[in-house]
Amino acid sequence: MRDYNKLNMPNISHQEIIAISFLTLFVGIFSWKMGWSLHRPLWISTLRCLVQLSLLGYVLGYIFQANHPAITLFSIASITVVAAIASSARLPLAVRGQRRLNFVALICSTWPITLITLIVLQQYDLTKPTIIIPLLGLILGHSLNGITLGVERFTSELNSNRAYFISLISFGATPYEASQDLLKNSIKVSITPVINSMSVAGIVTVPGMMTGQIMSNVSPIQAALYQYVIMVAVSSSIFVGSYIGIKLTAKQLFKSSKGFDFLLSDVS
Amino acid sequence: MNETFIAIKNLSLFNNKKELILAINEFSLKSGEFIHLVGPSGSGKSLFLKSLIYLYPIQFDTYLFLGLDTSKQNIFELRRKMLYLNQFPELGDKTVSEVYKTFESLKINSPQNWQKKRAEDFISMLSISWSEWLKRPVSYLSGGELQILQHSLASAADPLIYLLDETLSAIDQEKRKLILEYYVKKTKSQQKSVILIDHHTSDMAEISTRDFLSLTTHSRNLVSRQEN
Repeated sequence: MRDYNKLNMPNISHQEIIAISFLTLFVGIFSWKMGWSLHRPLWISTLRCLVQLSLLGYVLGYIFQANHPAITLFSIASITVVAAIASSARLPLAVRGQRRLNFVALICSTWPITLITLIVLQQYDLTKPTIIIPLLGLILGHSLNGITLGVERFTSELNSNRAYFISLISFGATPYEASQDLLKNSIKVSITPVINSMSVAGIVTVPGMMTGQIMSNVSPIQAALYQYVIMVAVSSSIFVGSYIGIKLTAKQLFKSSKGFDFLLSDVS
Repeated sequence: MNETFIAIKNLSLFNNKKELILAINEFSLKSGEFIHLVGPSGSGKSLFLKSLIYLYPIQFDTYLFLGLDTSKQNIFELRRKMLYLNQFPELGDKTVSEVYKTFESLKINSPQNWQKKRAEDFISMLSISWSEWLKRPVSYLSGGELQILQHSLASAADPLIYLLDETLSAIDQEKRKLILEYYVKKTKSQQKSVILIDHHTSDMAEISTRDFLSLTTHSRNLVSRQEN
């Protein structure tokens, strides 16, 4: 029987980081030679990734060492705010106060679902930073993508389907009735990536967290079960977050039933 | 005596840059009237009709519907009684039958005020097979057929006022004549009212009770209005 506790991954040194980075260098050079102009964003994002992850490592090290409830709470609030900013920054058709709306959507979806997940994983010490921060971070990362995709689809579909919206409104439909189909399509767009991931998990892909756990000595069966718990939490969070995000965006757009400001962009 | 459906004084609309884009000094619509809304392209005719149902945030001194201040009325009921049909209706990626169901299921509609039979009668009036019509996918309908579908939805809804924004532009002459006669009959026998935007002026003189010239402006030019 394999003793997982005795298997340890070796520490990664600077040389290994440089070695793996050559892959990005070669891919970037290839893109440059082909004239695709992808090398610059690829290299910049790779560098950013390295800097951000290193900083995260140092910061997490400090937070784990401090192990103080106030610092933990401040940390999870901060990453939620950053997630809300990031999710609205990528929206070409953001509404007024989009950051605030996304923040509400994120906090209402990721925090309760993280709490439920912690209870399921029998982690009752909710102030323990080594569990709550990585878990919330993981769920937030997926949820912010889901909210961005969903809200982006909703606003762009509303923009391109104005005539359909107006047709229903003109017959006395409420804005929510008139945008039901758009809401359904937008939720579908936000949830589809995670549905696809769940469908092929274990067949085509070994999910990231499971890979990490296996490499860190956890039994593959336990790693698989943990991965299942996480995927259910992530998919639920994306669904709830996108729904709230889209609903709040719609509420902002339709806040005046007597006249829609956003339709005015049609006229000059 | 004809009832006054709409009475407006000093209605204006500003765009997002706070520029005046529509100004109507005075307008009234009585029951049984058929108004031909005329004016060059870009003069704000559609804007005016859409403003009547509050698709835009309008401002006004007076805007009454059936003698009551519209700003205090239920907007959804107001739109239901004053139906706006547009030139390029988009009715979703469904079959015609599903479109009727979608509109019928709106909260504002009830079995009393929404009767699909009226839509069937309208379609049959145009010599179109109702059973075949219901099966048609909306995405396969021509521009004219989409306009017919929208008119048939309006006939099922049977509002007090029809705001028709170039809704006959893609329909062939024969059917256009039948549809115009249908609306004229509505005004004469049921005292409904119609405001129609249509660039075919030849047959309008004998149909419409009066013309309304909508001259609006871009940017800061003054707006004038003339009523026959």
